[in-house]
Amino acid sequence: MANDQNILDPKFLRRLDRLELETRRILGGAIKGDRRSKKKGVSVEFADHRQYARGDDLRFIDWNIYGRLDRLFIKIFHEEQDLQCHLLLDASRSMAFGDPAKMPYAKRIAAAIGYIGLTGSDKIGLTCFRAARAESLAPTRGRHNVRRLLSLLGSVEADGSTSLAEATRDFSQRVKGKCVVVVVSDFLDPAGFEPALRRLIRDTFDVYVIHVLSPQELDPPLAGHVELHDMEIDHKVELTVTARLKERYKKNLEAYSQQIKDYSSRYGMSYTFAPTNLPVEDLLLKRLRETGLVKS
Amino acid sequence: MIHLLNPLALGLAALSGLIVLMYLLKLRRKREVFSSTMLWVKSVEDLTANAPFQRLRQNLLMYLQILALLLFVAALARPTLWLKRARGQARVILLDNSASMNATDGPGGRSRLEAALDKARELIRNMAAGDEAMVITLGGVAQVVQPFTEEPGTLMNALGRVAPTDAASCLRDALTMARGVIKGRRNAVMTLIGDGGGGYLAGLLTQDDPMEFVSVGLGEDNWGIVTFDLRESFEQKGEAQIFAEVANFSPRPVAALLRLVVDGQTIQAREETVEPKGRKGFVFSDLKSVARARIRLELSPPDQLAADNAVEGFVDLESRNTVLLVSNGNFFLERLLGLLPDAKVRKIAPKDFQPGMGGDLIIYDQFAPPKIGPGSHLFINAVPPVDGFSADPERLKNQTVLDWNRLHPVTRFLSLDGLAITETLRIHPPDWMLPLVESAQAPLALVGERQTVRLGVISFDLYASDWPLQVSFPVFLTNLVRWLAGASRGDLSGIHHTGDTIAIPATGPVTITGPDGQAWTRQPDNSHTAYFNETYRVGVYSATGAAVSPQSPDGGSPALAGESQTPVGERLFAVNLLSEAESDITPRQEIVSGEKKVTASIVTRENREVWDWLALVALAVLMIEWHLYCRRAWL
Repeated sequence: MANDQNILDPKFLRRLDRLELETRRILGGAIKGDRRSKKKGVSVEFADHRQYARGDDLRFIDWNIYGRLDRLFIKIFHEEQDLQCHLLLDASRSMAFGDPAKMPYAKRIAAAIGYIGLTGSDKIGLTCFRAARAESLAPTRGRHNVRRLLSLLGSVEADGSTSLAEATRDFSQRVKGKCVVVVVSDFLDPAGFEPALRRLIRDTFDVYVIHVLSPQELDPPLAGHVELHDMEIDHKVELTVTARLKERYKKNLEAYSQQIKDYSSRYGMSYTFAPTNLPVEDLLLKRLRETGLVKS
Repeated sequence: MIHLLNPLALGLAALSGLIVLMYLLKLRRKREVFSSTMLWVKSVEDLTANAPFQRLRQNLLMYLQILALLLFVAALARPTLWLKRARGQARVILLDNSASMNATDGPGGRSRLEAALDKARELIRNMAAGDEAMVITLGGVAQVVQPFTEEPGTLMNALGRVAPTDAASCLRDALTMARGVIKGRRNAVMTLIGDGGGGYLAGLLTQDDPMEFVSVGLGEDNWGIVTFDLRESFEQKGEAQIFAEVANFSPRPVAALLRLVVDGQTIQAREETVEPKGRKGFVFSDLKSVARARIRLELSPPDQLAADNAVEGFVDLESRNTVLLVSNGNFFLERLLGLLPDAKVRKIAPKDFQPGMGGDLIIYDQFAPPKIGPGSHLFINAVPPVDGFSADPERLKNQTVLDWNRLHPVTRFLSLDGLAITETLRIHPPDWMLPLVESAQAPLALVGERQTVRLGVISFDLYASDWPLQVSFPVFLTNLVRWLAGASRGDLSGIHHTGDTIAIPATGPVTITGPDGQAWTRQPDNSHTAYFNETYRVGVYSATGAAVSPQSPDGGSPALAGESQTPVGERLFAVNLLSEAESDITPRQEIVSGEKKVTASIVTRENREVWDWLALVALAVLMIEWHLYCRRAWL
């Protein structure tokens, strides 16, 4: 429970209470929810009329039209359905890097989105992925599952190597329906990000990419002769870090981020850059609101 | 065969150890953990090899590498500094190893000879390809230590064989040799390395001599015994009298203490102050007990040249030359012979002369026997009965002396100007006779040696000239008697100078041991005389072997004729420096000879290959480059 409390503090929770998840696409849920569905159904938002057919519910006959035209028409309403949102959280060892570290930051993002969803009657699923091992929470609904979500997040430790492509492949095979997919990762996978995101290109997925990096990755505090060890894989490189090399690194990192962003845009995904020195509140209330993932 | 011009450069190979050591030093890198090395690797690759060509950047390491490469290439080209001359120089190194070069006035007591050898080695190291050099030493006798060669190693070895001597320098012979060997060679030079002392260039150099002078020597603190004479007192027969002269060549007065040591015991001592550049005579007399002894004079305090601080000699007043005068009566001759302190004279008439009679010397006055045996013979106004001699029947009238030999021991220091002869034989001598005194038409006095015979001839009657009335006559006759008699007695009893040739009567091999223990063996020639000329160090030499004992004239047997071999035991003779020129060790910075003036030059590194320096600089550049690379890694 201590972990739960660390992830989200009450003050932040109160601010989250005013938010709800949103999607740019009209997606169908399993039950009637708060969002308009493409399905015509029972809601307060009128969609259209159609002639009465036998078997229709008599409660939806538009008696006003019958009075004027003497014909039976059925009022058709947009059916409002619940939102299914799945969080894909990178739990590889590299996420433990930085100050503030990326892992707690990513957990807070996931917890916040999950909290918003669960308190808003949306279905929230969580997959903490890493190579050869994943921890997941099956899509669930209801405020009472917030504790489960936070408990799972609290127990997840950054460990193992990144296997982004493997995680998205498993996810796309497992989830057949329509849902919002939020990928929180540093995308530092030697195999690249494209094979992973390619798996999520599907009409039924509304994908939000949240790229988390620490300030130490953005501006490495390295200089001189260093033996640089990779956190995830057994690899080291001997470097003499000069200003030129650091500059080149920054340019490459910027280009890498831009590639992710461009790729996301090209395939209808939403990209959000999230440095860990940016407060999670600002990320949610400003940047993710701009992307349309949350709304107040 | 490969010769190394500078073998010491091999020591630079030790620097490779330093390079290996630097490579053994591992660069200490700080261990850092990072989320992913993916982008770092890419960044390094971007900066290194992402394109076959890139824009040339300002890179200090690149410049250093290029500089090192250029230096190595320049070193491989073997550049040589040509400072003075063209290639193919022929250099004659005239190395003075005379007595004055033993002055220990160098730093740490180094002798001048050591300094001269260093200069010579520097000259050899300066030799370029195509150069050649030879080495001639001057001490005692001009000696070619190494003929012309282009091999520096051979020349260096030759310098290693140069030994110090206590002899006077003989540049005259060395110059003659050098002129001979450089004749016809272009770009030849003679380099004299010495202290310039002894005035050994006086009158020797010509304008054509390509002479260089390299001066060595720093000090002038020397005083030494320059004159030593040992004789029987005129007043007291059988008593020795010693005269010595001490010269002070230093710029300060010296309280010279001269000790007389007889058979190992000091019996007299004199102390006198000798003024700077002055001299002082010492006389030791009243030596009644000293008739046959070993004499040594020792001078103190010590100075920078030790060879002239002691002289030695042997007194043997009991031994005298035996002279047989065959004459009908000659007042001047008899009178003078009777005054000779070291001669014992016996006179007989010609009619009483028998073949086989003899002594150290036989003088035939106006008489010639039918034949003569081995030994020394002096003919006065007579033709020697020896093959090759003849005389005109007509005598020459009114002759005057035209010239005389000023170098021969018999006639040197003589002045025969004004000598008039009313009548003389016109003798035609054989080739081996040397005229000492000549008139315009005939020789007047001759000497010569052949096999076992040593001859002297005076071609006129002493009464037919005014010579007996002149000062030069007793000197001439004394010298002549000593020269002729000395041949039969050997030179063992005399006082010798370094470089002298010692004649030792012997019938078998003679072993001579020098003062430093070095031994030589000499074989006698047909005249039963062994000659020893290695008298280059001062001190007492001993001669051992089978020798002919001089026979007394009274014994009736001719000298040098005996065949009896008697062991000589140990016969000693002393060799002394006694050279004012060598004792004056004041170093000269220039030598003047007539119109020729040669100023001392400095041995500089000329025509020197500099590849080793270039390689050294290139190595330093590489080390700097390595250091910068490790510090900054100019990727």
